[in-house]
Amino acid sequence: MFKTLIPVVIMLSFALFAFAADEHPDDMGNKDCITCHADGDAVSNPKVVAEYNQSIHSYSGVMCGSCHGDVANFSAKPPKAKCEPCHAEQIAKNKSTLPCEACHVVHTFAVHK
Amino acid sequence: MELTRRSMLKASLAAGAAVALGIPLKEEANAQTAATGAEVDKWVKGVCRFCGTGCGVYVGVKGGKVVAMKGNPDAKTNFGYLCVKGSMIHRFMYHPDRLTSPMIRQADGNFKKASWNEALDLISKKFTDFHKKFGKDSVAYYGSGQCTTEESYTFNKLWKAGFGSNQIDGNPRLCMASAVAGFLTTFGSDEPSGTYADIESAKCFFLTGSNTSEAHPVLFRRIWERKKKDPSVKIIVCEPRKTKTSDIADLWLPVDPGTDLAVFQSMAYEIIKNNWHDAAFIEKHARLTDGEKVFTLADFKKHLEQFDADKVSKITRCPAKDIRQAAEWFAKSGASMSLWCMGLNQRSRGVWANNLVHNLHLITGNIGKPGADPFSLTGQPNACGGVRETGALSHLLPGCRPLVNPAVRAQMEKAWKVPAGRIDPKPGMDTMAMFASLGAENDATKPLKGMIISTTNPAQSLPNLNKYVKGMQDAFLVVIDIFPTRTTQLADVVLPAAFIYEKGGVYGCSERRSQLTEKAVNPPGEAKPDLWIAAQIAKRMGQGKLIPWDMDDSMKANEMAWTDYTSTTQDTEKTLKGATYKRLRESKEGVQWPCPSETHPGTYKRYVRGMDPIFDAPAYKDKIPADASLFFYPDGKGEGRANIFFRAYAGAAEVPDKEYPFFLTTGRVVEQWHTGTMTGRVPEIARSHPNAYVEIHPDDAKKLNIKAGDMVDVISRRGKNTLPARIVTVSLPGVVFVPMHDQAKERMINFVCNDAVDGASKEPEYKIAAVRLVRVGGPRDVADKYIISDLNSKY
Repeated sequence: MFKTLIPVVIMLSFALFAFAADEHPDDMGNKDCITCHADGDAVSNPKVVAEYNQSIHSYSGVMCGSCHGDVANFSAKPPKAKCEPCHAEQIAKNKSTLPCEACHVVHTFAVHK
Repeated sequence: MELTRRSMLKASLAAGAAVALGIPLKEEANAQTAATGAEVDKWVKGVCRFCGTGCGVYVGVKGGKVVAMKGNPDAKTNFGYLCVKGSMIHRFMYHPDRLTSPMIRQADGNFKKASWNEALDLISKKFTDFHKKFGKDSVAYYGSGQCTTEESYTFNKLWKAGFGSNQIDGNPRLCMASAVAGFLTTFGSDEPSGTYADIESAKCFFLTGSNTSEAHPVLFRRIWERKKKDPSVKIIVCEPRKTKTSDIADLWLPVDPGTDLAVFQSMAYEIIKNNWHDAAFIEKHARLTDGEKVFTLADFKKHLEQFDADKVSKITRCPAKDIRQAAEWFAKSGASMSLWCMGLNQRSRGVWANNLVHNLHLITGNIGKPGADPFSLTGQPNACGGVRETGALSHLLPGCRPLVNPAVRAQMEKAWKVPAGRIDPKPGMDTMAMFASLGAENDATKPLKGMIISTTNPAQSLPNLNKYVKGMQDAFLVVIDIFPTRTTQLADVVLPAAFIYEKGGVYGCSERRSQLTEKAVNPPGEAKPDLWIAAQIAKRMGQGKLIPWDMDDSMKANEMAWTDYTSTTQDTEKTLKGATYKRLRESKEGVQWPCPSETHPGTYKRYVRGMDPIFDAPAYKDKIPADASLFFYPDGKGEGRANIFFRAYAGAAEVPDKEYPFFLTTGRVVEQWHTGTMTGRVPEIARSHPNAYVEIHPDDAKKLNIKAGDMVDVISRRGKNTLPARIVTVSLPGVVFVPMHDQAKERMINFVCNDAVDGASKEPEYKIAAVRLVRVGGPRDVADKYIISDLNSKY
């Protein structure tokens, strides 16, 4: 029984990421994202800030909130719509159901993995 | 919460059920449902509302509201990319603080809702009374590089042709006036000769007075990509701060604020001393002058001897070897492009700083060919198109032409169908003079009694605010805006404005490109376009014939105003005759002037035969030699030359001393824009940069016993801020930095800034002041994301 449910669970999990805003695990208060996610902090990926700081996004005004939102619209794994403001053509042409990050390295944003 | 197999299963099933039933899981879900992008009814073409890059956008509309933004991939400015600000415009448009009704201040000091008729009748009566009692120059209009071209043109026409008054200026005076005067004095004509397209051909970038990565992030992406594609491309950054822009630089030239003039001169000296200059170019296309006499290259070299790199190093703190290296790269690259912004313009020697950068291009022949151009960046979306090109400043007429010129006045009087002599030959007041002259009716020392302020926030953005607030409070002040601001706190009448996507109109960005925004949605409540407001005031003050575009259909009114404007400049070098509304509507990339006909593609390079259509224009054709491939035709002497200026060295108006030992410089951060009235209302943006702070070098912090987060008073001769300290190595020791977006009074840095102005451009020296620092306490949470929400709140 459980085995038959696995594909359903996986599909619905994708649906959750695609459609839902997430709950940030902690109260964000007035804090900037970097306060907790600074380099060396193990809250999430400890390299996340260092990686981001080297990315084109950090040099061209795409900030944490551009993709991850704030309290009311927080996305731990941003859906494709969050990429649309700058990458609308690519999204329109891409027929894959996979999220952008499946091929594009999160935070360093090389063209392809 | 521990994520067990059972809880995951339950959550997934619940989510699946919710999705299947079409129930949004959280607030944002509606706006971002499809995996392929935002769900909208339509995408409407427009331009970004923020900086001067001019990013093309599509505005997503659903149910009559703007719900999403995306970049226009066909736009030649941004190729589809947006920054954090541009992508979130829809997030503040419907903020509950939006002004939706005209409001008139009552005797008790509070505002009361009024009808449009009541508000417009009051304004017109007051202004008419002032004109009768105090003369035509007692009422001013203070506009903005964020109004549309049609709006700036219309108010300019109303004031200069209708009232016969030149009391019209705008906030580009505070950001671009030195660039305008720099272009005018060097080339005889405002605005760059090249365009952004030079970025992709440049082999050396000289970025000075610009934190491009934060202030023009989408443009910086183009520079970043250029360097990535060709690592041999050199990037030189000359700045007092080692900002994110410097991260990709090959060379950072650190300078004390205000001393960069010496570096520019020193680079010129190194170039000539080492014979890296282009003697043939200078001989054919330039004039070595101090503004009066003409000199030889040998004279120029002698003049520059005082700027030997070793000597300059002592004045500036910039290493001599780096000055020499920068000079060599600039001269020998084959295609050097300079980009600068407020760091050069907002200075008491802003015009000279501009001239000196132009000098570097002229002595090396780095102009008039791909990748080689001195390019001034603008901070607002329509400072160039709206205010500079329509001449909506107190000394100009449309086409950025000086109103002291009798021929220009005569042409404009004819075009505007007003009697000869209607346009006053005497320029009106510049911005700082205007605000210094504002006051109460019974104050004989204050000649300005009333003012309309549109789409800008001088009660926060003027330097040395303490000097100017009372005048704004005492005078009859009308403010047109979309949100309560520090300036509405001083207003007598507040008029609710339609936002750009609620009215449409043309914006002209830094690269001479005019782009049309279509109206996408209706404005909320009773908010109205500025154009409609101007027409209603004109009608009530007996000037209705001048502004016949008084209809409710904003796009029709826009088209009439645009056509009227472009007809007045069709025979000038800034002609947009070919940029008809039909063409602008159909084009996905806009039009770059000069563009004399509908079949002309627009101009990539000015002053170059084969690219610049002015070479074939009837008014210019006979004045340009047939064999001239490059000709600076605006040259007042008719020789087609640009001026290489002899300039002396001068530092800032105020430099550190024993009492005020630090340099203060101010600027933008990437998320916030201007005084934060729009960006401060977007939660993600407010979180990233909620409050101002003071950046202090660790060496200085140690001496003053200041630790990270400690509260510090930043005190100048004019005012004080109390700010949390950030201890960083971004600035040189002895230089502190404060961003300018915070609306909380104790953190509004313009109370501290200097209002000394450049003698030629009248632009104030925001960028340099002398301050002292005093630690006043330990860390305090000031990340309150403070914004002015209550229209009845006090200043």
